[in-house]
Amino acid sequence: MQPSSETAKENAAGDLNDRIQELIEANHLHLCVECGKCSAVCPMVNFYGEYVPNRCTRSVVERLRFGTDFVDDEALWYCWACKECTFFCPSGVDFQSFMTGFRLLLVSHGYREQAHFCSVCGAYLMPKKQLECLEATMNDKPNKELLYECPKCKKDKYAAVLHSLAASSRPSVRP
Amino acid sequence: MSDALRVGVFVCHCGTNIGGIVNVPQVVEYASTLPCVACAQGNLYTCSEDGLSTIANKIKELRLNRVVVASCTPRTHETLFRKNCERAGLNKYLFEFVNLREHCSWVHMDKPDQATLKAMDLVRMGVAKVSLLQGREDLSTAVLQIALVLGGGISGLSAALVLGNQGYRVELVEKKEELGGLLRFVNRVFPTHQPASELVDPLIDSVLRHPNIRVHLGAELTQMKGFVGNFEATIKENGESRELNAGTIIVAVGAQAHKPKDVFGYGRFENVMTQLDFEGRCGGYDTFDRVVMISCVGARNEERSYCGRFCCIVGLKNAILVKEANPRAHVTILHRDVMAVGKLYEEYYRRALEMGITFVRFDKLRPPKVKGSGRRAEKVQVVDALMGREIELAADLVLLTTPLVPGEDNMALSRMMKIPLGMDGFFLEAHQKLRPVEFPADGIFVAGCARYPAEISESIAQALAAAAKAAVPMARGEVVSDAFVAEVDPALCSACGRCLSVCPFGAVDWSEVGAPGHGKKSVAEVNPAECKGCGLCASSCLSGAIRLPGFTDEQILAMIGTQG
Amino acid sequence: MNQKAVLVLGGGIAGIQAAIDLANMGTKVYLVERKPSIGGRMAQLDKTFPTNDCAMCILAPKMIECANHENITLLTYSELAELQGESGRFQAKVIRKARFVDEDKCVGCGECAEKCPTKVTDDFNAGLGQRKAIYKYFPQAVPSTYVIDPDHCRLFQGKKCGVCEKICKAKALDYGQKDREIILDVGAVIMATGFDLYDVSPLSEYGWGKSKNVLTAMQFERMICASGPTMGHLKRPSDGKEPKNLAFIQCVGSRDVRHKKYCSAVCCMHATKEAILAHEHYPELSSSIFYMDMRAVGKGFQDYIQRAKTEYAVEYIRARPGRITENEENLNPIIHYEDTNTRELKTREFDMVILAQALTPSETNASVAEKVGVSLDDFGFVSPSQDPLNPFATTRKGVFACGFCQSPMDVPDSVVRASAAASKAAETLASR
Repeated sequence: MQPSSETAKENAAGDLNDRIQELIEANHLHLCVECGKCSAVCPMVNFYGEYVPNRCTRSVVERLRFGTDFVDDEALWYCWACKECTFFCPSGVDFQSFMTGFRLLLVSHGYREQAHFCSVCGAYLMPKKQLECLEATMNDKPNKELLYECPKCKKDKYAAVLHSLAASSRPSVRP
Repeated sequence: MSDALRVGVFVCHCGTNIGGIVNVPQVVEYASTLPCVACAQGNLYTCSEDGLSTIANKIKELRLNRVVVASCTPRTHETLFRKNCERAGLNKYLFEFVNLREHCSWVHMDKPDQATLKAMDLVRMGVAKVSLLQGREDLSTAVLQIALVLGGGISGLSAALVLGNQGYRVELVEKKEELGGLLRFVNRVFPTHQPASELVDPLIDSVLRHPNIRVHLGAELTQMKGFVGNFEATIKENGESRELNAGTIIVAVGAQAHKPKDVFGYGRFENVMTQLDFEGRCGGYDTFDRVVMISCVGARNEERSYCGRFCCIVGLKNAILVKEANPRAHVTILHRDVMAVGKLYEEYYRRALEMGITFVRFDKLRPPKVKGSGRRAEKVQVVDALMGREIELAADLVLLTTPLVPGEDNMALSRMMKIPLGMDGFFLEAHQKLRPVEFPADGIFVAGCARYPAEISESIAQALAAAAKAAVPMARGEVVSDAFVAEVDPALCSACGRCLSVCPFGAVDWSEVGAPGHGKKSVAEVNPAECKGCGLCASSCLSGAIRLPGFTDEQILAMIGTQG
Repeated sequence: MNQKAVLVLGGGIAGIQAAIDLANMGTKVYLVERKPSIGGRMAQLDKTFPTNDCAMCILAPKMIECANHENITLLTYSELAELQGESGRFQAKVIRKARFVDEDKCVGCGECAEKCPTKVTDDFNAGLGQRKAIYKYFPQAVPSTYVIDPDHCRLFQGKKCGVCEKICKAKALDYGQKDREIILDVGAVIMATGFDLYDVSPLSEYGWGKSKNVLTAMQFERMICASGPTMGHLKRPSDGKEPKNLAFIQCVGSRDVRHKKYCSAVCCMHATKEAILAHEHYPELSSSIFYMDMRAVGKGFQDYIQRAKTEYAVEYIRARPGRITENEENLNPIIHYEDTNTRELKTREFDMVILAQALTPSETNASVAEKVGVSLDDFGFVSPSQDPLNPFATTRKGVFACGFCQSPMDVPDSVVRASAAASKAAETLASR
């Protein structure tokens, strides 16, 4: 029998919560002692004017302790995964890996509005916020195009070019 | 050797403590002009090895027969300088201490010139007094090799056992009918989680079977007389009075658990209890799914300013035990600071974090609220200080983490034994850092929660430390006390009894003396072994019958008389 | 009662206390200290919390009591080489390092150091001052004998010198002195090897070693001490100016999985003490203490914190700062932090910043423990006793440990535990 759409939604939400809990444990978010060092080293704070403290690294940790009802919050997409917080955390919390995993999880659960995808294969590439910012700061047109393809697709494309070159003229290989 | 007075004056810079304010070279120069002064000199630190050997050498070289040191306080350094005189062959009571630091440089920091003048005055007074001092011999008292230990908790037991093992006899007096103290109500101990009984039962067993230890259960101290070497305690054991003699005493009477009143639903809801109440259930760790603990209940507040030292750890322990028994349980600790100080505690705190126990910090001004219906607490509301917003936690058990509070008998014991209590109601040690298990009175020591909340290993440490201190006079078999003790002239005594009532050490008593033509009369008599030389009796005596060598009228008048 | 002797390793406050207690019981004690003087870390402190007693004023009498006690033999500038035998019948080989100055002849006058041409960074003053190549460890050193540091002395480095020998009226110099070995028969051993300071330079975010006005707590302690390199005057290392506001950063290397996981136990209190002392020296000065948990758990500690707040202009900010940058104009350190009580990200400029560096077991603890035959934990502290009723036992019978070498602790705890270890040692001797 087909489950009703309501039940499916509930199951999906329950699954998301469970998967978030797994991520929390895998990246030791439960070891956070709320010291505030991560927020203090986070470069994004200076980057986004509206990136107010209660949306930053530590805030995500603290809000997750009491529920996951904020998964559609735009601020979850502000992090650029620079790893400063993870490097400096005195408690061993790997916030960068958590964030990376968390985004993939959100995308796979349909929270796609804030995400930017590869124009070729459709894989998740980076947060939209990051794209906008890079677009604004990178003036060079050819480089800019690189922002729309994922590394794998880029590699495939170059491989294809190489293959075509190789097929057209076979250079002799020196011993 | 001629009897002419030859005084040596040594003025200390005490680094910059004195030398930074008082012009020491000027004081030295002035001192050398005073009558009978054979030499005067300054030292950077008179208490250093260097300074001391200088004094000793001068005593020998110039045949000094009086020494004045003008430096810090006799409280810490008098014994040292006296011993140094003795080492150099000078009777140690021919030494006078002038305090240029507490009495001069520290209090006149902003007026260096006047401080220098005052220092000169003080030195002149010291020289005037030292000339009138007489050599004396120390007093020696025999010490019974028996220790009286008050309290049969972990501290008392540990102290009794180590002293018993060293060959001393021990009288262990416990008020309750059972040994073990507060640990009898504890289920499991930090950090091994072994049952408390496994720890304390073998100790009780060794104490009970020890040939050197006599245990008095259901016994209370009713009277205490005597002094170091020979205390006479009266105890009431099973309704009967009995006398115990002891050379030293260790006070290890413990503390009591705090019972909160009308807070957090304690008493109203059956599932709100203290950590100790919870441990009293001995188990049932797996029967709760949502446990909320509230720390600092009755501690670090207006009523009780101190931190209970290990309450946080008790909370961590029970949280871990609950979580171990039931990994699905939600355990939340509401705290103001996690006092996991040091290595073992911090490791334990991290263990709790790793197990998924949640920590929520709250502000003292916004304490949590426990809500429920009927006899059951159902939830706890708290403003999470970090998020700045109120959260609500479902709860089927609320545990209040409370500190230990002073024992109810402390005040009575303090009076009976003449040992001081601090503002917080715990016994007050002689010096917090260097004499943490001693009382000002000789031969009486303190250990464990009687002094301040202490967990098991700390209590044991203090008990063993107190035992070490108690063993010293017992090992020597005698105590030597200061010769500056009060003396009564029976001919002048009018037997008014004022001195008996003012003496804080109980050193004055009546004695019968023969009076020519009148048969016998009662006069006051000072027991030199108990007298600390405080001078209260001498200053209260209306007949001028009591004098205190070292502070006689002649000496003090001479000091005042030199004032310009 | 006890005929046997006890060997005490470490001449800090714990070792001194254990030695005095045993000696007073009538036991012979050998007190071994690797530095040229006893006194240990407490000798470096200015005042002690929570009573603000001058550390040297309460320590010096104990040091001298040790030196003068008929039952105590002081073996300073000495190290244990090996320990054989068993509880009750140990044989210890101790190396007495060459001082190149005769302990019996030197009167500690200091003429030699005054004339010595070679300046060396002074460890005792936490690197803030300089001493000479011939030196006394600190002014109140016990014994007061001078010592030559052969790693820096011109003569020992093959250059021409010999000034100290010429100047010494007591003829105490002995350049040919060799390390000596002595054998001691003892019944029990007490380890009291104390602590060292964690090197904070790897915590590059706080800029120690780069920013001149960022000091460690020990450097600050020496600076505010009357017998320290600045005679108790606070001076910014960059320009010598008197600071108006100080920041204390707690847990620098402690409670940090990247460095030391444990809590160093004394920093909350010594930061508070240093802030109070600074205000006492300069009433206009204020301090801010950046902390995670204010672990004031000892007797009278909470009241001390309250007094700091109300009487000494000390502010407590719950935050672990992220980094310290520097104002390029006045070289003021700038702290970047999140106040976790108000959830605000802030930057604040201070005149001087003091880092509460983590405290670690003595750097020689591992080699001492190996020679003594005692196992250590992962951090290098003496492994916790397996017998909860005897917290001073080690893995070798007859060897006890007390003080900071067991776990971070303050002076009162060290003193209590030293006396307690003395009790256990006395018990060991009595049982034979």
